[in-house]
Amino acid sequence: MSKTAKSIAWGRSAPLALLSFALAGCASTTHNTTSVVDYLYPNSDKVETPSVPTLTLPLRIGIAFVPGASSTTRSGATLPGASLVSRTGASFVLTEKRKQDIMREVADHFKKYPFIKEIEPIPSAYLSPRGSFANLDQIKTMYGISTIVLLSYDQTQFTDEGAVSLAYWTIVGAYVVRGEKNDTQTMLDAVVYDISSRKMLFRAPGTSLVKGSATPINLGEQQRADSEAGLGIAAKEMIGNLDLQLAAFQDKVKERPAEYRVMASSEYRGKGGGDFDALSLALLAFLCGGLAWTHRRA
Amino acid sequence: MDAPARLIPPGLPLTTLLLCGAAGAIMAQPPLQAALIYSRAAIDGGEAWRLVTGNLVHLSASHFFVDVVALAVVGMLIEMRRYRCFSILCLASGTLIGVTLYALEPELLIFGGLSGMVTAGVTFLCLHGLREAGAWRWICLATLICLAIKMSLELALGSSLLHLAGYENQGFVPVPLSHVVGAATAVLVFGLTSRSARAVAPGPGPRRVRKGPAPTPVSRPSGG
Repeated sequence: MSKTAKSIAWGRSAPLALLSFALAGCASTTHNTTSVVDYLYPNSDKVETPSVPTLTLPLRIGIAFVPGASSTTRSGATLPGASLVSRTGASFVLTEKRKQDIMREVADHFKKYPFIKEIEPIPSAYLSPRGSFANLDQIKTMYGISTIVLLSYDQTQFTDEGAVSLAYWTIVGAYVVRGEKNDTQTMLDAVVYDISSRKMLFRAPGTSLVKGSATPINLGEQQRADSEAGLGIAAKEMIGNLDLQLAAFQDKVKERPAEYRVMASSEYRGKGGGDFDALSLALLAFLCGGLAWTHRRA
Repeated sequence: MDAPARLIPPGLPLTTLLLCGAAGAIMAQPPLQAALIYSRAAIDGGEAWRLVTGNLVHLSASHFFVDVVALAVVGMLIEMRRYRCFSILCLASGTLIGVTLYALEPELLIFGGLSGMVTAGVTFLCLHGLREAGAWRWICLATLICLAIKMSLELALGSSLLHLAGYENQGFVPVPLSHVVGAATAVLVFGLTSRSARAVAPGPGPRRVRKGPAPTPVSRPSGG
């Protein structure tokens, strides 16, 4: 090869090599979160003092996702240079349908308990951002519930490019090479509150980590799929932890009757007793009195 | 020659004392309560004894006190009046209550209490009282009628009348079916024991020839 041809080849390949190194160092982070604390206690100056909750069995429970999601997306490069691949960022959207599916999954699992009459999924539109307990009081009146499960989530997606992303320069590689690495970390948290007393009864979290890869072309789609999968796994873990925390709460209620009052309504059939009530005692007293009277007469 | 002393004095309400003592021992020992209470899940797992022993377990101190006092009163009346088969009645009613609740109340997960057996005792006592003459017979009849009306109403409404009216709430729901089964068992046991008593009662029989000297007639003092 002539000297001129060599220098032309080097001249073209050096910037390309620099660009590819820059590309390999690019990463982005998407973080979506909701907070029960922000919803229930928006005004940090106001202090809510919980009272002793009275739990009337069977319980009518509502379940809802807290509103007011905040989302941040951050892109960074470890080396100077613009990213060749434009990341759509696939902004996280937990649709109402997905929320209803998760709430229904929780409700179906806990309907088996005799002390739970029903668990009502509440649409997100009924919860106002930073609505606090006043909003919960309105929902309590609308649905006739006494207890509510508030769900919140925190999901972070990290997207990095691996070394194989060099293949993007072949153009075909951008369609077939899965050079985008995604890590989706999700936490789903359930907090159970007695609405009237403003007292938190118990909480249970569920977490997940989903690792995936994608081509630059279908990155957005893959991120949405990872987000869905992460939520599903976290929901399952949360339901398992809710079972454990509920059992622990039942023991706590028995050990601390002064802190939690439990009453059984006439509808509650789970725990029954042969009850010789006051009317039966009155009949027995009548019988004994009659026997004594007949003996005295005799 | 004096009659030999009996190990168990006649008229001692042994069955009543045993049942009350067992209920008290169980109440004092929470591990025993857990092992013996009617628990549908445990019965499904093979612990069939809970169908019977569940009657001896109580869900609160007041529940225990009322049931045991009532059983003590009724049981002592039955045993001191020498009405037969009270122990069989207790065993039969306890067993039938457990089996019937298991069959007909699938949503009842936990059950305890002696009141079904107490109701069986009250019914048994009153049925025997119907055989006697005088005011006691009418008192027993009135008690049985009131009991039947009360149980019918409670069975139709699904709970005790006082519980529905809001006067009683012990943290559990009353189960009227246990009282109905107790009363029905008492009728059954009374009917069977009455029939067997009539079957073995001595009839007129053949004329017996007396041996030995005829008894001396007792002379009546003359008036005046």
